[in-house]
Amino acid sequence: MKMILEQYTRLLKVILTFMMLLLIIPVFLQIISRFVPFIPRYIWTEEIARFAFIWIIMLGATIAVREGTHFSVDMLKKYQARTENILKQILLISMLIFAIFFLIGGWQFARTGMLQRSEIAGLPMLAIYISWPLAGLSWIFFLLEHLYDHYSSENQES
Amino acid sequence: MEHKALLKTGFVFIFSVILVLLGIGLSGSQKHSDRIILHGASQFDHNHAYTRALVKFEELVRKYYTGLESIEFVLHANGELGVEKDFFTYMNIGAVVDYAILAPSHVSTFSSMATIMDIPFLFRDGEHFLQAIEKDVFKEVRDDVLNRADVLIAGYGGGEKRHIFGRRPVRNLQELQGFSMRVMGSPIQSRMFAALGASPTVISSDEIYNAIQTGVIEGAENSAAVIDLLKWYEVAKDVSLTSVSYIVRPLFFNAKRLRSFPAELQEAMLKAASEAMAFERSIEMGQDDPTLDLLEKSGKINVHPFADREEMLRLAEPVKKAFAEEIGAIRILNAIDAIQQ
Repeated sequence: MKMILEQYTRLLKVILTFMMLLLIIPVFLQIISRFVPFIPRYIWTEEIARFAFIWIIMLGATIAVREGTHFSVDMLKKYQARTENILKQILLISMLIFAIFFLIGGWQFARTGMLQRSEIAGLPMLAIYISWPLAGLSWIFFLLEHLYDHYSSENQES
Repeated sequence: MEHKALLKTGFVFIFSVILVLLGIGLSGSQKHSDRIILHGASQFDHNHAYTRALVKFEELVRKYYTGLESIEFVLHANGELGVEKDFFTYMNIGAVVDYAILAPSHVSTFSSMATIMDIPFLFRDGEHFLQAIEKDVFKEVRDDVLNRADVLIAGYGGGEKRHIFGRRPVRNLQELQGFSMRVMGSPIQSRMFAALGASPTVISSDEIYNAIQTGVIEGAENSAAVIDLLKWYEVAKDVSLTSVSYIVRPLFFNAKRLRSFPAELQEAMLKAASEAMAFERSIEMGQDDPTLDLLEKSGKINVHPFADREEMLRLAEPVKKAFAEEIGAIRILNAIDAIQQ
């Protein structure tokens, strides 16, 4: 199971890198085309950059859930190990609940994309909207992994 | 040991799912009410033509509907519920927003045919625009949008002229050559202005001010009301009376919601909608030139006449035809062109 999640994360990282290129190259092209007369002013660059940006956000958020690198603010002081343990558990469960909401809401949202095609490139909008439920689903997997690790280490300590 | 952790994780997961489903179930059960509450949305303040037309619509529905149901209107102005694109998505889902006036370009992802309304040089003048609306030339678009998005076009507003404005005047076609201008992100806009000799760039509308100021573009095209509202005259003083388009702004109605009402109310609403939109057209067309005059009198802009509009319309003709062919709206274009004055 761990192996599969590991490979999945690696795949997400590859896609993320690709999306990053898809964002940077067209935007770069668009900007220089405004000042260099012989470079054609493609209009699809604006749309493709927007779509790549959306995917970058969703993929990045997913990878950050697995690696535990999302922003977190310490508002409470350090407690004893036992209390810290419970707090960590509450944190993970809250994230899990949010992820389930995201999956359900995201799926409803993605369904509205089935009827739509993007204006310039004519891409099905589902290809962009699907990133919402996909992110929710991936978070659920990764959070369950975190919870499992948490309980395993708890068991070993006791 | 491992087994225990797995069990615990599974338990927590099931617990979370139940909690979420319970939450969704509870939030859904509070919707029932004995009154009909209608939500209108506008991106603008209460003085704007769209918002005023929506208020007029409320008044007219109250006047025409004599049935038993009690109706309540809630108008969300100032972009309380988001931007126009969101309004359309909400209406498509059948929730949150029941009616709104918005740019047809937001419908393009559902129905490419709807972009016919946004083509530059579609109408010769204001009179031509009014007659086209009178003759209901966009009937096919209405059917297409209703079929694809389940949103009803209940009336047509608009009538404002969009002019080219910028850091230098565009008084004839020669001056338009190489004029680097911002256009909306729809293929026809780029194609049209490129065909006329300008060099179009797609830039988001909130960046127009900065782009003109920093010299990325020389200008753009928009209506007097918007030039005034967003203070673009501060960086682009020269407005050339090019009338590149007469805007069409339909009133859209959430069709799922509309169908759920008693027939008598539906009828009253459609009647009210078409009258409210006639009122909207009269506000927009009445305010258009006076706004420009006022800006000129207060020294904010310089207005320049444009000499070659006939020639420009002639050059636009094949571009319009090719595009209308592409989106399956050639019959609509022909019907518009056939209107004589």
